[in-house]
Amino acid sequence: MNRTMINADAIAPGMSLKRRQQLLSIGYAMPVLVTILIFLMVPIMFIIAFSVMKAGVYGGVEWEFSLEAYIQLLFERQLDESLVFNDAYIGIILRSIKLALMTTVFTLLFAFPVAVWLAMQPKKKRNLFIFLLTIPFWVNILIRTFSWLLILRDTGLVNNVLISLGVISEPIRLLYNDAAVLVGLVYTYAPFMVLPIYSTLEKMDRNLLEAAQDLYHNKIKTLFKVVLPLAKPGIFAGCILTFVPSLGALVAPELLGGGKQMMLGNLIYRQFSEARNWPFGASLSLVLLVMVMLVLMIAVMRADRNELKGGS
Amino acid sequence: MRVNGDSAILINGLRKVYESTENGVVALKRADLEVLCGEFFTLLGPSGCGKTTLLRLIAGFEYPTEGEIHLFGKNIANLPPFKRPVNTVFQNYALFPHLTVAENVAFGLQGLKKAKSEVAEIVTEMLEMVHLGHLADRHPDKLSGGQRQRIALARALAPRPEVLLLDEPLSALDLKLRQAMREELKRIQEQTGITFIFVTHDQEEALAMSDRIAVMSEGQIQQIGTPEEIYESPSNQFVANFIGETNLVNIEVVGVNNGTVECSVAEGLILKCTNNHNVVSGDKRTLSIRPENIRFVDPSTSGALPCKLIEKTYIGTDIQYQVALADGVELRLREQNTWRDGKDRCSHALGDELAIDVPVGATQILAD
Ligand SMILES: Nc1ncnc2c1ncn2[C@@H]1O[C@H](COP(=O)(O)OP(=O)(O)OP(=O)(O)O)[C@@H](O)[C@H]1O
Ligand SMILES: [Mg+2]
Repeated sequence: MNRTMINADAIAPGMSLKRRQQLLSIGYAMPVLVTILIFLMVPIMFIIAFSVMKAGVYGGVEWEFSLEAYIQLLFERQLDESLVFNDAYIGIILRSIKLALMTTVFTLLFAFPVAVWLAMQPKKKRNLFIFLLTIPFWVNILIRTFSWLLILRDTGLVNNVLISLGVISEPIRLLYNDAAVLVGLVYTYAPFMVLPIYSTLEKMDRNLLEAAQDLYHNKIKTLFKVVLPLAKPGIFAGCILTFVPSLGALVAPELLGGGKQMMLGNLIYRQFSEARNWPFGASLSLVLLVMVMLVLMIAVMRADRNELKGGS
Repeated sequence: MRVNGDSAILINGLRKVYESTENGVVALKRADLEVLCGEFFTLLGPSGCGKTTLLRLIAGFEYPTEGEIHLFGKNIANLPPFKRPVNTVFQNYALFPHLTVAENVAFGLQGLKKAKSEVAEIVTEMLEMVHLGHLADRHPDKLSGGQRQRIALARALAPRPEVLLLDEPLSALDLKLRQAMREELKRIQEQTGITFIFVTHDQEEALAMSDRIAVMSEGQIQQIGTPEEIYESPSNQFVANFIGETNLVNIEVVGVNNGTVECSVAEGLILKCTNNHNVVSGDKRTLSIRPENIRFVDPSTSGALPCKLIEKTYIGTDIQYQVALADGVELRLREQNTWRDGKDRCSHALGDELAIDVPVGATQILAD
């Protein structure tokens, strides 16, 4: 603090202390600001710019202003240039939101017990389990998701086992539907839910569990009245870390949804590849971006409110 | 209805071995203990002697390796904690951070599925009892240490447990607050009439607050008695040494005559004391003499023991002296630092040849 003031004095002798310090702190933040600018803002600027241009015939864009990409979100242009309302893309966006929400819920249902169990393990064992939890990340997500294809397909593991057990006689169709996509997404993002919940629970005072039991709450009641409320910040962080990436997921819907059960990620990907409609891809990306920003803003507001309340 | 003086807790042959480490830690070798209804009972002992272990066994957070714990005649040793009508005040208070003060106090009552109106009534009553009614809606992290302590107490008392367990509840408070809370605790115990089992390693706290004390060391109970009994008649060296200060002197019994014994400390140095352990001539024992019971006397007094002053320490309320008797035997003694009509209080100087008197009743023969 002291040093800051001395430096500030040397830089601009005429200014008020507060103003000088403000300037100086901006100065210190400069490298970060530049990094953010280059790696985050510039690409977003490109996307925004692309979204208001005309599509090139062979991909890319033509440098000419056009709102066609946004019109296309809601309307289909007929041969005679008239516009007809088209809910196909809105449908895909809503489907993406629905699937991302479901992914979040199922991941939470799966991850919460796992995190609680992890946090209850003896200290020495915990690190080993955390390590095991990160092993899937060593393998490329494409390959990991592909392995689900092998498990779920008609001649895959699940069907084979069920047939050999005599539960079913014909293979059941497990792939290329929402459920398959959901399985893939839950599998992919489970660690992102487990880890933040685990880290809040790990910090929890073990005496609180004993206190709850001492005060006539059995283990189940203790779980709901003490563990769950105390895990809230972790649950919240986990939900964001799961919801946000699954909203734009590409691999799981592509492989397990068979490309027919499209999500926003696939749609965007398609615009930059086969459809060669970069502006439309860019406008869809912006829709995704706005949705993600909304979620994060809610998160920040919630965090602020908690701070005001003084809760943890 | 419980009647004061009934046996509230009866512990038989209780043993606890923690199996978590390779060989297992014997935390409690064998405990036999009875706590009476309405009593303020204290477990006192040095760090690691097994006080917390014994308390956790009663609370149900640990299960015994062997032995029984009876609560008003019912063996509870294998019940889970939420089925025992016993509550705990934790050393770190363990207040629920996500709940307000009032919700914390209500927690146990909700666990017992009490009606809402009754819960509200008891919570108000409890908060009034600890003088913190105005903090009902605060969260625990916005409280001072002393306030947290009171809330922890109110929370544990709200379900009206048969026995309240307190594990060093005052150790996190500063000295002044600790002394105030002692009186407060004692008042609340008398007001509610609930049996308290209180753990501490502070002997002054134990002596000041307890009806009875169990002195523990190395997983065993060394002596159980009232504060007077523990202090005045320690049953062994550990207790004599741990409670207050004492001189331990090795002696040989040289004469027994109706009630008093003559003990030889060294060549030509004989101390007399009451025969409280039925010793006979020739027994070798240890004697405990409290420093405040020895006094300087005129060398011409009968029975006076000549000595030489070798150390003098000023400690405020008292002055502590170290004297050498015959054959290198040393004793510590204390004199109250009172104003004696202008007389210089520290008149004795190092190296002075003085005399002391050790009254017959002031010495204790210790059990082996
Ligand atoms: N969970 C445990 N696993 C293994 N050993 C333990 C465990 N808890 C306590 N011990 C051991 O048991 C012995 C008694 O511990 P305890 O906590 O009962 O002592 P204490 O009298 O309460 O000491 P303090 O005054 O320091 O709190 C100690 O040697 C301790 O190391
Ligand atoms: Mg302890």
